[in-house]
Amino acid sequence: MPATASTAILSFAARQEARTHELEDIDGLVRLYRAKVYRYVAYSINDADLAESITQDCFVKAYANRASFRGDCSVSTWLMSIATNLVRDHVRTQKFKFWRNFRATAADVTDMSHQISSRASSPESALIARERVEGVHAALATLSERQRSVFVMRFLEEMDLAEIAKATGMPVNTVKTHLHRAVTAIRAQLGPNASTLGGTR
Amino acid sequence: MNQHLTDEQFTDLLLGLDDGTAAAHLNSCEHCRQEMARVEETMGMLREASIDWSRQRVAEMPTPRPGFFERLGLSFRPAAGMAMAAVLAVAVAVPFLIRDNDVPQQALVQHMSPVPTAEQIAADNELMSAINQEIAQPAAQHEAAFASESGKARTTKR
Repeated sequence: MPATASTAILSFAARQEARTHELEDIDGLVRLYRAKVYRYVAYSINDADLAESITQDCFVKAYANRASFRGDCSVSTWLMSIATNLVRDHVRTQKFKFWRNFRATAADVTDMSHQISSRASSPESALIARERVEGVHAALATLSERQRSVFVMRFLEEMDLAEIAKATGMPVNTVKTHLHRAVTAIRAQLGPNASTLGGTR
Repeated sequence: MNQHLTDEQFTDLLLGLDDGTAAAHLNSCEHCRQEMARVEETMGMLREASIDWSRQRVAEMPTPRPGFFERLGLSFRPAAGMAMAAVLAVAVAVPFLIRDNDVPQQALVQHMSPVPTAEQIAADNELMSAINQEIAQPAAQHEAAFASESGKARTTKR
């Protein structure tokens, strides 16, 4: 066997070993990915309490099925795929009116607005930033669960299209179509281009 | 260039899928450049705000004690599952076994009844007679019969 092939196999085996070890350390896994999974689920269903429960389910399921992890994607992508399935299960079975009443019950967004205020350099910048983020939230409310999920994965979690396709089980072209719709909806919600914040970040 | 980027070109550029055409347009179009900056800025703000928010929320959540998931995970292991299945099987089967045990005991008592039927006596006599005949045959005949039977068996196998 050529040296390069054997090196590749050894390297692959080492990566597999590391990933298996990572999955065995469930407490470490929770520490590392809990906020990420929670953020994704909360945005997908817009229910902070339910998101907490689904996030915990996600880790329980991941730990129970750790033997089925083939290592053909990152642990993070694998967790996102489990979370995606759990979100879809809830949407299917509970028929939640997730985003329909968004404007009336936007407690979570108010929470987020405080975060923006703490980062902004001036009250004016904070106000503009808050308006824009709320505009994005309002646009997200008009999207389907799948469009919202791929939007969150791309723009909040900064996953590439192949990772999103893997996590959602959708073809890359479908992911692109969902992202096109999401971006178009958000731009429409933000309104005509008046100005940029220019240096607030 | 008078025309601005289409929605599709704009999104492709935002997603990093542009073939260079849209990027070239940005260099010459102030409007599209500002629009791109605004959308990127907004996405950035949303990302930062959502990260801060989710970290704060997670920090406020009760943290599972070390070993919590391992204990939950035990119930999913095959060995534990099989043990549980065995316990359930025993729990379900024992009442039936206890109940069924009563029936054979009654049947056994009936079978060991001291008064045999005429058919049973006739069958027993027939069996005893066949055994006596076998015993009465000389040893040479037994060996010949055994050799004949063995030869037939070998031929059949071939």
